[in-house]
Amino acid sequence: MATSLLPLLPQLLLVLFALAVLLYDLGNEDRPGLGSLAMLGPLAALLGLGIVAGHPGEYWGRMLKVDSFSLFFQLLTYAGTFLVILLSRDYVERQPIHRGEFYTLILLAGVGMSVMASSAELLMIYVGLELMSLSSYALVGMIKRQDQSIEAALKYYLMGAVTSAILLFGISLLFGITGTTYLPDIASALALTKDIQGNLLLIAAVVFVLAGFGFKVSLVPLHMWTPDVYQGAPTPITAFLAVGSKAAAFAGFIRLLATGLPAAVSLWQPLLALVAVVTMTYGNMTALAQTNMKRMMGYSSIAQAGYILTGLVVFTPDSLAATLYYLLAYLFMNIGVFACLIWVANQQESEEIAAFRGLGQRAPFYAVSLAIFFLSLVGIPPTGGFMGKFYLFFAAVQSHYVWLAVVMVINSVISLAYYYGVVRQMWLEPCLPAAPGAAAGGTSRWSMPAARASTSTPPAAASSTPEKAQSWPEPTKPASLALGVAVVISLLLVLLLGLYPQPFFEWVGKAALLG
Amino acid sequence: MNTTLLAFFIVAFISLVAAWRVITDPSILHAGLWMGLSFVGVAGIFLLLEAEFLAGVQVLVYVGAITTIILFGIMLSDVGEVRVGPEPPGWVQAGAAWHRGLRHAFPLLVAAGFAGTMLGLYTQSGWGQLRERPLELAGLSVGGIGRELFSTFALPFEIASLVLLAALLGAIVLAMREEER
Amino acid sequence: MIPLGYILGFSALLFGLGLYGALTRRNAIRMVMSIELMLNAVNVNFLAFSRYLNPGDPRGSIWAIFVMTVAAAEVALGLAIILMLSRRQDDIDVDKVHSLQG
Repeated sequence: MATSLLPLLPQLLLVLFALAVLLYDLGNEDRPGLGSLAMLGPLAALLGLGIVAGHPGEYWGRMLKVDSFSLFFQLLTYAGTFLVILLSRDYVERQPIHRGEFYTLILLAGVGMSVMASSAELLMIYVGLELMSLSSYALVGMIKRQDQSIEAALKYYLMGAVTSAILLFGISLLFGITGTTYLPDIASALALTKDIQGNLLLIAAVVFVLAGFGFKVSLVPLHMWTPDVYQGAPTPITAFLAVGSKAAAFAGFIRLLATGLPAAVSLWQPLLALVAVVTMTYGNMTALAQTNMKRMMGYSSIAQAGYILTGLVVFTPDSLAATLYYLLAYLFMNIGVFACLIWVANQQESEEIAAFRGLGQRAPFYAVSLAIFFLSLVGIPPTGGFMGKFYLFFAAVQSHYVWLAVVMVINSVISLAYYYGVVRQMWLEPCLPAAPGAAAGGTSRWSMPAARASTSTPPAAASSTPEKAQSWPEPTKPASLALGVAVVISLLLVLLLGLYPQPFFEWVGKAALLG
Repeated sequence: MNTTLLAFFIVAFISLVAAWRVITDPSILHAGLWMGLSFVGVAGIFLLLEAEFLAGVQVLVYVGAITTIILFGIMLSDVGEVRVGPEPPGWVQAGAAWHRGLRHAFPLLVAAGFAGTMLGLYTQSGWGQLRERPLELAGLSVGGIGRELFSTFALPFEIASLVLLAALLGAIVLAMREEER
Repeated sequence: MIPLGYILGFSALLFGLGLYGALTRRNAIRMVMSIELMLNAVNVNFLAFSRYLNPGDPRGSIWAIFVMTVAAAEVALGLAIILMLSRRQDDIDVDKVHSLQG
């Protein structure tokens, strides 16, 4: 028994801490150290992962798979969960959120993500996906006094439930065609099929299944929820959806395509190529017009999903490794951006881009960090985002997907525009007073758009959160240490991934073999 | 036509008509009741597929639990689709009835289109006229399902319990009134 | 005996009706009901494939059990969200969920 429980150690530890947080929250009124207890969960899971790494193989009737791929994504999940809880510590103090349930659901969603990554059985991937999804629906609606939050939860829930039903229909067709839902067996059954190209039913099944995963990573025909949910959700949860949910869905996606459907590559490759191009172009074009920072990050995350998808389209060991490398860098650069965003929102009571005005003078550390994270998101050296994108580009060119690589570069240039818009606000606009309500009189010649922003933003910020201003106490603590720590960790890793990529290259290269 | 096939047609017809009414019935409460009937019809299909255990579970979970929750949800959230205002003239009513009729037939057409497409694909795969083979006793008994569920599929079974926990926790936190904190 | 195509046709019709309802209805509770119809169709598929193509293999039944479990959890959570929204807005017409558009 002990031997069969051992490979489950990280997930078990995470569940244990989720329950511990829930029980501790029940027992105490003040609940000191609740956030620290929650943070111990992913840390313990990381330690457990170190032990499990020495025991690769398949366990529990082939339901659980421990290989370098699953270890990679589990590490990503636990690191992401840890950082998201770090971001939440300050946030839950200032918002009317039930902290115990909030942390428990984050940890449970983490379990779901790690389950998705560590199985080659569609049933496990489905159950993990639902665990992640149901927790996320509830987390998105956690700020019950804000209509935006509840509405985002409802939209996310309804669209998510429809796509999960479509995913199930596709899985049932795959089950009918191949007689199994274990991915390696599906692959061997399909390898015996003669006329893959002409098997229209298989095409339908593949399209349905891809729709289910495409929703979670917000690919274009199924992206509609992304900006609304990103804007309405509590900001740490937005970060969680952007990094955790997306990485886990890509883990399932890669496992499905590379382990289950490699024989049908001629069916899904052209489809995904088209989707990737449309997704990144649409995301970047729409992001240009945004004034709300979280919404802009929503569109940016759609565009990023397009970049990541190119690695799957090219479908060589190199390109899959590049995908994993990019996901790794993406985790830290996104967490960094959201940490800075939470810090600014705490100061200014606003999540508009205009709230970043003069950040370069007010808080040079956060401003410089945010600029570096943006450089990474665009793909400019010396950052992890550059290395990831360069690797993706290189893999695409190598297997004669030059046009796809060119589209990616053009899109990166477009994305420069909206990130630069924020950077310009931080340095080239006059400083905004820390207290909301008093508008700064911008007179420099740069401030044509800012003059409009300064008249419109403070009232908008005040009216968007009227109840919060009335019923929730003013922030008592000044700048939070937790946010600073999250920024420093993200910054170090983004730079490390950009300047010293060699060991990481070897690692993702091994993980991408799915062995 | 043998009796099994006749039973299939009757059950399928009832279930589909009920499903159609779920979408088109003007009263949301009635739609909920139609949904229950549709679920019962699906349980009948399960019986015809010789999956007696699943038919029982279907009645317990879908008819017993899910329909009840949804009916409760309808009554608690109080969202009747009530029309108010003066009675419109006769010709407007007749036109509206026509329009309603067309609109109500539309879901059927869309579903028929979808089903037609899928049937074409199934036929291409040679599944259209396939008859069932005699059932081997191994595996499909309740005992067989139970043994599989607690051996091969034990791990997803445990994780499903976490899914229920997460849903329970989320539902309680979201539906709780703030004054009760 | 019933040919497999009849059963698959039934499930495709049920799925199509549910999908149409989920995509076009504006009442959130009705959308939830339509999603349940889709899940029922999926279960019919699983059991039909299990019975006709792999008789004796319990995998189809196991899938159906899991789909039902998750569906029950999903409905409970969804109605909690709808209930919370209806307390605030007296109206859960998804078209009127407007503070996020733009």
